[in-house]
Amino acid sequence: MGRFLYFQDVIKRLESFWSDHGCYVGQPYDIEKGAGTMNPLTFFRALGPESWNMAYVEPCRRPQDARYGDNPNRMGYYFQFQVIQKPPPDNIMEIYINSLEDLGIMRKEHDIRFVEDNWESPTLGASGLGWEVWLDGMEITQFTYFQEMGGMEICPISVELTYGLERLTSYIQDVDNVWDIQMSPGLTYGEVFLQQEKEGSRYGFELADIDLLRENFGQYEKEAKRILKEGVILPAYDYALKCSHLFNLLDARGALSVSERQNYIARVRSVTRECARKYCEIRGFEKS
Amino acid sequence: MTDDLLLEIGSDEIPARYLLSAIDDLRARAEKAFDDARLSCEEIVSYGTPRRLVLYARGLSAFSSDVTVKVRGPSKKVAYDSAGMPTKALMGFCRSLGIEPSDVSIEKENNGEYVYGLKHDPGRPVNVVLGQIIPDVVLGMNCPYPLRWGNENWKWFRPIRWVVCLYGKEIVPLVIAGIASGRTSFGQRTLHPEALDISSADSYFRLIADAGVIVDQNIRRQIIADGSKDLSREIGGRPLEDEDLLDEVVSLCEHPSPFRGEFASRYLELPEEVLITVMRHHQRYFPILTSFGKVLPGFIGVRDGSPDTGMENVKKGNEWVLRARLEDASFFYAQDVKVRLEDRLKDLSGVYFLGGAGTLYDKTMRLEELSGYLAEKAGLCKKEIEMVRAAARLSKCDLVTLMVRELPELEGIMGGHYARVQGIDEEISRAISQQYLPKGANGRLPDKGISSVLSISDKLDTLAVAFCLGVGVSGSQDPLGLRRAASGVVNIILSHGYDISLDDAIRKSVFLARDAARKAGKTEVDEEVVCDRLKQFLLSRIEVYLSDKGYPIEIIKSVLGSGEPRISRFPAMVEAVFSMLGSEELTDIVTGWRRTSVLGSKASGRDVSLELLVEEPEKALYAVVIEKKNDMERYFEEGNYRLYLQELSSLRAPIDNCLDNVLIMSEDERLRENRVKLLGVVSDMFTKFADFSYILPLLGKL
Repeated sequence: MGRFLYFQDVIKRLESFWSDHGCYVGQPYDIEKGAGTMNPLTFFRALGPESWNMAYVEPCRRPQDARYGDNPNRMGYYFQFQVIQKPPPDNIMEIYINSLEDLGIMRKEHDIRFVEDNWESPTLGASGLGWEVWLDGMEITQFTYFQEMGGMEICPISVELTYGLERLTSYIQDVDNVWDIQMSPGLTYGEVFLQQEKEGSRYGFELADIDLLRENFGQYEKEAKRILKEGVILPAYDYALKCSHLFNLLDARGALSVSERQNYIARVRSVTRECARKYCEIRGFEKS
Repeated sequence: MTDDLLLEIGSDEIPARYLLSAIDDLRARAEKAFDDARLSCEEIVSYGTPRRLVLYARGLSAFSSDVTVKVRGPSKKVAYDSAGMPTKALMGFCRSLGIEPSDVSIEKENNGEYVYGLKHDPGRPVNVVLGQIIPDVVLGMNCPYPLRWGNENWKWFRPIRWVVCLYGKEIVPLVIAGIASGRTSFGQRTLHPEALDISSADSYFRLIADAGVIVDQNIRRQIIADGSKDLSREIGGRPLEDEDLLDEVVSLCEHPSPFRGEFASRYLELPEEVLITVMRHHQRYFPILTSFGKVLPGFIGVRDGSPDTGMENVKKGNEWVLRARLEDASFFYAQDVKVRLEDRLKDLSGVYFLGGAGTLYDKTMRLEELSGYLAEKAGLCKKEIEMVRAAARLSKCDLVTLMVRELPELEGIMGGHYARVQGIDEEISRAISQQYLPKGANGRLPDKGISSVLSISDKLDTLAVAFCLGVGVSGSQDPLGLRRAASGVVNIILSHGYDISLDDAIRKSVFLARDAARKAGKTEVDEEVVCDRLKQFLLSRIEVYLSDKGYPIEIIKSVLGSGEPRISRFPAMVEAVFSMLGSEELTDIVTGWRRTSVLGSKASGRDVSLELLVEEPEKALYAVVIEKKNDMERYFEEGNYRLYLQELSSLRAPIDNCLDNVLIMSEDERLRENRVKLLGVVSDMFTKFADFSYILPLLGKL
């Protein structure tokens, strides 16, 4: 596999690879989110006819997946490497495989498979068709052609590649446990993030104040709706993101019944849809 | 002149679950299109891998065939004027066929004379015809969830990337989803990612094989099946037989290379179902079993690529993934067994059922009552009734365990395991684990006794709640799996022969379900209507069950028309009628029924007065009825349906005698009413068994 790759090297290589393929290498967005797709530069740019090519690291918070740092490959806070290409090049799958080769994962030495896995984000009113990419049986990337965003059919479609950075690096570094990943010489993933993971788990599962979270949700939702009426879209979307994170916390805390869950999801979706609709209106996109 | 045709559609990876049917669909559509376009060939075959669908037509003629058809034109009156000269109408008709007015013929028909002309449709070059029909053959394929791409919103399984279409050595020019045909293909992604030119149709299979692609799905299947057997034998086992898994794995590769991986034997402490589920559903591995069916610490994986390079990476990587998954499962198991199932009951009140129709705790309470009720009706003893109730009480507790949340397909099975481990009676544990059986149309049934009763109760409750909520089934839309649930109920009751009244079971379950519906906001539930709709739904599943066994639908409908509530009697009743098909006896029965039922159904009661029977034939008929009634009742209850039907057939003679010689519609109102009542009594004996009107078409004219 050549030179040893630290976590930061994996990111650097992916950035440089996708930069060479016409992507603007962006930065993470500063509000908690459950998936890189929620970054406004993906959510909004997927709408309308304008082309968009971007690659960026995005931290994800999924309180439900937290395991107190006990699980070797599941955590409530982790990193995705996101690539958006719109419209996607015809040979995008081939380019993707080349990006793996750039990381030293040579196709002839491994088993690389595209196994059907369709994707849906009810809070974003988004869906797509695609695959999970298996490297020697391990899921390392989600590969999706968006079909809908903000409740609207989109055209042209975008491709979204989501590399699971921890999975990929564990594999490359041949470690069994995410916490043993080498971030940079002499520094492990555990040293950087384990305390946060442990405390985050405790907070999400045991300590989060349910009433406060519910109240905040209501307030943020109200604020989003209020400013949307004023035609302010991106700040309203920020509040939708905050609502979405509060919902995830409530869910992890086990505070929501099935019907309540549906209800909360629908409330977030109605804000994100409205954001998408207004965005298209302001940018002058025709309704599809 | 003939030559071979090759069509290869290259695409991004087609989802495995559609591939095999897509291969067949492509061939079927091509055959039909070729026929319609009058193209003839020796044979059409189709193949496919995730990245390509291939159509090959051997010995395809270079031209479509000529054809001459006779076309009817205007009537003679319209075609010629009074002077007998061709009119504009005739000239137009001739022009459209490319003929002269002198070429037409006149033919006499029922409603006048008409002009006929011959239309000659000459054959066209095959590449022109193919260019017109192939795009539609491909794009019109059945894609359940098509992907939409490109500015023109093309739709197919996944984006189409290249099209090779060759007739002999020549490219057939056509465009599919914006892609022009050519001769450039691509090999397997790792073995030959580069472009590859196909020189001629007949060189395709050799060239593509050299590029690492085994296009024939049956050959891939053989490689995988043989390879997994050989590799399993090395450790003294055999691969789990699973056709669905094999289909899926075949559809996930272009160049299968099976390999054997291992996992630590300490994981064998996990329940076998867990091991198998993790390997099969999550990783698409074939578990390896001993000849006694015990799981061995190994698995067969299938790589897409060469068996010669990097196989150690592939094996190691897959083992790594499996270990992580089994480690998770061990953790879940260890946590789960610490909590007694009984103690999880309270957690069930935090889980909603059917989107808010109460909680799983509510469902558990209903199940306890419903299963106890049904157990009693099914004739289980007191101890068994208590056991069913105990099983029902614990039945849903595994839904809040870590393992089932992670591996939902293990619902029930884990409950059974945990019950057993925690020292709960074996029979109760088994009932818990079998509550979701049968899984498919021909799936294994739960054992007779408490397992079956619990399984029926669970399904019936779901059906009752759904029907109370007004959630039905329409067409292919059945998100709650109500059809499967209903088939399960029917299948168990009929196969195990429970003499339960369907009406009673429905009434009880709907009665219990009302409360759940209320919690979901459905405040007004008309029980009568719900019971009736649910009954019709279940009866429709009985029809399916019996017609799958090969009985004519007419007989099934007639027996179901009896309204007999103990549905487990239907199979034998249907068989009894079926065995009489074509016999004189059946004709006698249907005749007897037909002669008595029309008037009989109008009778105001069944209280036939002896004094009012004045004619000999009616007295005789009544005497026969009285004489046979008890015996026939007994035959029916004992399930001697053949005897019952024979008795029915013997009624024909006295019926005929009576109806031929006695005027039913007598002027004397009292006699008339009494006679109609007599017919009512007689026809009841027929309709108790079947509504014979459905059988009439099977008998021809009577």
